[in-house]
Amino acid sequence: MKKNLGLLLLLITACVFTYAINDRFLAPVNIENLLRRTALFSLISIGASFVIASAGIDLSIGSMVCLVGTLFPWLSSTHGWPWLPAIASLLSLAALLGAFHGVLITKLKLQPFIVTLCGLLLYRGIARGVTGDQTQGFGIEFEGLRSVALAKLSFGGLSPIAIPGVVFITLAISLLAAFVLNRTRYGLYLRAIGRNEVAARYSGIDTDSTKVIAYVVCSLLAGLSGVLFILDVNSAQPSDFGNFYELYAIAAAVLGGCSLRGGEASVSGVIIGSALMQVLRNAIVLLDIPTQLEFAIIGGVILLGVAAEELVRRFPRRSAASTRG
Amino acid sequence: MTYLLEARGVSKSFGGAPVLSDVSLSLAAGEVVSIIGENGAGKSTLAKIIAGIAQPDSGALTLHGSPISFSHPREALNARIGMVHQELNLAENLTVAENILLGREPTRLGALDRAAIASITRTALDRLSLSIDPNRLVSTLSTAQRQMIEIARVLSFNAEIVIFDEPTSSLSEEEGRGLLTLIKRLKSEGVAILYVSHRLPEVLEVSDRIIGLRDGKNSGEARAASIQRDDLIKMIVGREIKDIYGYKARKHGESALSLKDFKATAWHAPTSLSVRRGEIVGVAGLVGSGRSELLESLFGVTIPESGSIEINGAPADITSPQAAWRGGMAYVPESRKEQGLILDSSIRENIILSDTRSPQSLALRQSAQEDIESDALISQLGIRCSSREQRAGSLSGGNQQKVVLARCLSTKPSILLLDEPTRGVDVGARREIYSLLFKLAEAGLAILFVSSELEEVIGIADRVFVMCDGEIRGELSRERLSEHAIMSLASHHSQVAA
Repeated sequence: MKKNLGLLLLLITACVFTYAINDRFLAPVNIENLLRRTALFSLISIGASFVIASAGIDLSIGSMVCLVGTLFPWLSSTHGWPWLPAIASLLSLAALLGAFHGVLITKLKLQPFIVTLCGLLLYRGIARGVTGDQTQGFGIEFEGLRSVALAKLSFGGLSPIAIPGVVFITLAISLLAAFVLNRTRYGLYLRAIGRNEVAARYSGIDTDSTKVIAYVVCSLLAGLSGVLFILDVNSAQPSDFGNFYELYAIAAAVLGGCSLRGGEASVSGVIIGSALMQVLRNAIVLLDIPTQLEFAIIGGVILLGVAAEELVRRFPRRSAASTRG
Repeated sequence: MTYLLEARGVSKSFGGAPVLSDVSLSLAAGEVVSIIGENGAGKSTLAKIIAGIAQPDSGALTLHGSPISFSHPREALNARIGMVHQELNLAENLTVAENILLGREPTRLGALDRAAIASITRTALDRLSLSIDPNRLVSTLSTAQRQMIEIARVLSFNAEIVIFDEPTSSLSEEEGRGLLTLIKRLKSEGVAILYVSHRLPEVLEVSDRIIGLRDGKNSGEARAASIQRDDLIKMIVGREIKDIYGYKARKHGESALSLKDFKATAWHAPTSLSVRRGEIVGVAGLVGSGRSELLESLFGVTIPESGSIEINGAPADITSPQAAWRGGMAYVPESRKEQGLILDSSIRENIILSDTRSPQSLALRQSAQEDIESDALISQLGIRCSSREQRAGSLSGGNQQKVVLARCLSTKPSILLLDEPTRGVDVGARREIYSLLFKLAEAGLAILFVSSELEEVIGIADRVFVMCDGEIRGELSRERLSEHAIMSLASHHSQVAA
């Protein structure tokens, strides 16, 4: 947590700054909105951080969100599947595709960038082809299911704001992810592989399956968030649903302390990183900044954050890295 | 006598920790001066300051009597001071010529002048009598050839002073001797050489003068012709060490590891050998004779071509390093930084990394037990560190090697394989590693090691296999061990000067 102090300060600064200019920032409906979007984006970012910790990358996250998110209403509304088998088979598909990435990367030794870049093109293409590029949604069906994912809990009025249901789903998955990364040998192995894969292999770690699991986790979380995203928005265009989400996920993971060189992962950092990006997007709306500038502003702030983090990190390292002969 | 280069009162500290304090040194034209000392004594830092890679906090350097101060290695090169690095500094994906001229490619009308490049490179290679094609990619060259290219690059700046940092540490004995011959030739051409090494025999052979460093301070200076080896060791460690090995005969038990018609690669000849409990068996040979490949396939890093392995009398199927650890083997690989250690992880995380349980990944970590286990091994092996959480990469070479050994011991193996167990390790830590190996053998561990240092092989092995061209050419019992006996089996034509 100490490592994420700078990021947390940046998040608080962004919040205070936005609130100072427009006090609607703290309106319950805005906070609920922020919480929901942070929860959704945290899910894909946690997945991305597993892959990044292994010194890999997954560019197919956004297309995976699109594939699962558009095929779910397509299966259930258009083809009349009950929701449970629809979700189960789509999540299995996502996991299978993740395993496919992992096997291509570990056994065929293809580069993660290339494999998942092809995934990015493939899955969106398939989603658009299968759905005939038509807008997908549930209409007025699945009210019950949608309310499970989106239900707002106010704990009988104890909480001043109603907390969206997805927040609890993300919270549970975050705790599980943090447990796996910090308390199981899997997490130890994942970081070891990210730092030095050759030495990890010589130490007796099954590096291939450790990496395959990371890609499965990433695709599975992308698929799960695809389900939650579509339940949230209820209407999705296969041509742009989930566009650029992989970049949001990677940016949040990097902001949260995952080095693209591998070997680092922090779930709390990733969540703060996701929150920062959502606050920035929110601020652009609240501060009446032209939305065309959204990417420019988010890009600028991420660059600033990462550069500041690197400078802060370099201070203690310079003294520790005394190369003596 | 006027000196070409003088350093006076040079001090340097990293993050508050002094690495050099008040060190002085002088070097005359056509002179070879060696700097000796343990790892961490400040040898490389001193060399880097002279080569402009590091800057001193205080102190003065003079060249031809006038003060110099470099902020970049390029300035040192332009002042005709060049350094040949321990870990060679070449761009592997460029050609020999491109590397030699990197950063100062001759141009004509803004385009590369290929004729000039070819002629400069040719001259540089000819000076070292190298017959390497200038258009070859550096990645296709052997370590020894790459070192020659780096020397050629330094000399192409008309260097008056060439600094060598542990130049023989990655060369075979034969290649090392070639390098020493070259250094003597450069010296006769008037080049001044600063030679950083902890290999005493070669230091004694090549130097005119020897300067000792201990804990960042000058610890002595002597003419090579008038000093004994024991005095050199005293200069390094500050005490007398008569015999750094301390070999004692042990009893050997049943066979722990045995290979039958084991072919590591298609190129290797079938090998049959066995190592008994409590026995230390060495594999000697020149670099490239197939020793490391034998250990790697034995440990499952590569899949052997054919043959069988028996561990403690039972057939073992070793198809991955994971299977090898589970089968009771442990391995100290050849390259500590690439294969042995996770440099960015803590000492603790490195020690506990190997796990023989199955399935490994699902196991929960018990931090209290990890702490106890790593602390016990840190003290058993005498790893000098601030705490178990210190980054492994910040340790000295000897302590890093002890961390790799600690990981091996953490799985309580019955067989220990080591490849170059003391490469880049200072005399003090070497002695500790040897005495640890003896203790482990005494306790019944079977040890099989590969080493390019004949003295080490003779110093610790009970029995030695000599390899040449992928084949075991002979077996020598302890009584028959000598440098001559090993070299005559190891060389291609079965003839070598004594």
